[in-house]
Amino acid sequence: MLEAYASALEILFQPVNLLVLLVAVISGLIIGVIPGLSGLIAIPLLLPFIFRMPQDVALILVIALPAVVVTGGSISAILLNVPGTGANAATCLDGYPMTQRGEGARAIGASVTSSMFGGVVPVFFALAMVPLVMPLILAFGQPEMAALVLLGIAFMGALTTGSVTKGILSGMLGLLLSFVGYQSITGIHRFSYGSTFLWDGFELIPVVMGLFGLSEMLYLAMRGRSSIVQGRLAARFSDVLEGAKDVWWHKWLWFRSAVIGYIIGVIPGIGAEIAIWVCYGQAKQTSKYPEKFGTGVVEGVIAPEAANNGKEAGALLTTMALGIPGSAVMVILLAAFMMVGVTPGPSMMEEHLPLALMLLLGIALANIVGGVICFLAAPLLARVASIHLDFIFTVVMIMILAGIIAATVSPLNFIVVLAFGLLGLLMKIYGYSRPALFLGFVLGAMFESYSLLSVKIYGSFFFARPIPLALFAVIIIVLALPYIRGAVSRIKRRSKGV
Amino acid sequence: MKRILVTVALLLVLCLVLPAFGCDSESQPETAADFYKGKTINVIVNSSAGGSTDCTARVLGSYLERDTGASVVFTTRKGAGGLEGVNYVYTSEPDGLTLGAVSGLKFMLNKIMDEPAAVYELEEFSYLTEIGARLSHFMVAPDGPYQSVADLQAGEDMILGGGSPAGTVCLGSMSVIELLDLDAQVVTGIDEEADRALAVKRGEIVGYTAQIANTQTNIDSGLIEPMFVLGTERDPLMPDVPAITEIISIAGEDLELVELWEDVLVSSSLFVAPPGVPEDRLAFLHGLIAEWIQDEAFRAEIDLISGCEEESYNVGDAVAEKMLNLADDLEYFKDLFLEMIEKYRL
Repeated sequence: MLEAYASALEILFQPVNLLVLLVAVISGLIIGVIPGLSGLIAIPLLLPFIFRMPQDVALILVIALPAVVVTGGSISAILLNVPGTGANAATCLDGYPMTQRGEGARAIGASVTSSMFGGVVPVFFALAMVPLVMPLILAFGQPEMAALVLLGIAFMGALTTGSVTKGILSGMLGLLLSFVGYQSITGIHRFSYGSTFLWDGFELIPVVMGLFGLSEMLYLAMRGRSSIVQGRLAARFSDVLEGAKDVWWHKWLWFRSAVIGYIIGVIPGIGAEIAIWVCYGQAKQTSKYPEKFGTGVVEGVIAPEAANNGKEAGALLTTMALGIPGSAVMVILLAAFMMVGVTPGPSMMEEHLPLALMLLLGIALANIVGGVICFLAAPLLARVASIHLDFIFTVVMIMILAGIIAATVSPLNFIVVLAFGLLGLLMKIYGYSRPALFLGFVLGAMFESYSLLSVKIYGSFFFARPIPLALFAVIIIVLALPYIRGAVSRIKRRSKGV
Repeated sequence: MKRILVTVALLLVLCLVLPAFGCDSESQPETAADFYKGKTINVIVNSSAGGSTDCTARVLGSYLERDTGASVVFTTRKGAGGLEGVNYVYTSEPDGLTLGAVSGLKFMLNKIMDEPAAVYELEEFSYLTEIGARLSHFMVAPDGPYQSVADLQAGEDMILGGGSPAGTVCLGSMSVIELLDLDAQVVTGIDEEADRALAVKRGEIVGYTAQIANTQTNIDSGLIEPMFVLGTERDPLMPDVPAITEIISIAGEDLELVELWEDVLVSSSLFVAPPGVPEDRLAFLHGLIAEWIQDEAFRAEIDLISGCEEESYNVGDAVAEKMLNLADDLEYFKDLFLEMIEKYRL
């Protein structure tokens, strides 16, 4: 084993491979920062060149790039309220208010540190996890998936900062919007009115850009603000370090979130979209000051960023160790592996162990390099918050347009961005919850599919299985926790009064 | 002064005459090879990035760039089950600068199932090439209770897996039920290949049909194994796996159904151009493709995507002929499959 590690390190630390890794990391960060761009767009562009590259160079390139995309995506979420990828949407909730308060550098420091370790640590127990991955995956059938998605939906309440009724209404609207398009279990088209554009429902990228990015810019413009930051701008390196220290102070939250993200990543079919909301929700529910979440609490940045990088590490492990792609990006990665003559799966771990180890260490190194780059750039990036809003508005609009063009080819998606931008603006003005709508939108169709399949395969009592029952118990605890806390604090107050 | 005027006059004359010579050279018919130089060819891919059609298109694209002098730009339009991309190519300007890389199976099934949103006609497209002819295998769990056709025929209330109700996997599984006369139904909506393989391993579904190239990693991981080929002959990729006709006696309409899966509904990457592309440009592209097929480096790259030595390459007329034959039988197959969906969908 030690020989395999030595061999892996020898391959990884060859100058050409290190250079390729650096290029891939920088590309991945830039792709992550620009909303709409992702590994899903970048890796296919590399495919024609991969054939002609040496095997190790090609594999480092395709594995290092997606490993840091979500790290880059958190920067635009924190600074501009425009999540670089769907997996960074939860980071907006507290990251952006921190930027408005002048604490953008601290938020980036916390996000990058959380992301970096969230991507590095799982790699080191990945090999130990390999024997456990398959039983875990097989334990999660359709009913278990349905219960897991329901757990994500249960956290909808945790995303509501004002009126609970408005939060629930927002979530319900999100659920309704998720039902647009073709339902492959029933074979029925819903609300698509014969349009092939609506056949697959609304695409995630235009929805997230409109709901968060455009609506925020419109809101700031309406309020006549001159810049995003409203307080004193703290953008020194020491402020970035402050964010890193925050992760240390909240190390158990970070650990919990990374583990949840990792486990969700290992299970194919469950995306980062669930991991981030579940982790954000549990961070809020277990916090001593849950009411402050959504106003710029650093834990609200640490939890989703640990989760999304942990999820990526889990998905990569499943793809490499079992040959089972956990997401659309992993499907492309699988194709890239096969193009250079490597078939991921158990045989890879046995026959090409040094190569598999090199890739695992490559993921860790990519996360470290990406983290260091973001860390060093953070003080400069945080100053974006003090730039005049006219420029910011223009830049954000260009980013949104570029993202839409790159991610989707239909010009009708500009209308979707605009519609969701206006909807988001109205929701913000009248105190409705945009995150709850987004959560309902992301998880609604997923829950419908898993629960319908469960009923068809297992019958009406599909939930009468150990894991769904355990998850339902967690859901009940999650929903009851605020009331239990309230009751406990009332009892305490009464006893003190007595 | 006089010299200057003469020189200017001469220059003016030259200015008038030279373009005329230029016109003369332009009046010579422009060859298809000249036409493509410096232009941009848009390749529309109608399936997911990283899939075999997408990867094959990118290999073809790199050779297209090399041999035409044009730039090749890829756009994924996989919306509406790939219809968005096919419809887009069908209605594009027929100048030879918009080409489509489409999944052959989806392309044909949409017409067989008479999908209203499929605005194209099979017999009108300009066909460039079809690469691959991957047969459908029936997959089961290696350690599950169904290890033979006899086990399947003895089973009761079984559930097989499918994706979209009118999709390849669903119709393949339904064809297996029909051919083996199984007590089974097909659950639709398990859309991803990996999810179906995992559902088989978990015992949620008994099996489903898939092409080896799309599911090789799942076979290697021990999630599934092929029981038989939906055809009359064995698949060279899996010579140990018997054809369904070796296991049971099949004749009449059932044999036609098997032959449909063997000859027509094979998974392939199809390259098309809009109807009405000038003949010389089509001939030029056909010629290039024919050259590439002879090129060992090209074939090696295609083999890597296919996961085997790819032997099935059809160019131009051969593809068009296949589509014309299918177009004649569309109604028959549509009725057959609609009846199966009605009977076997859970």
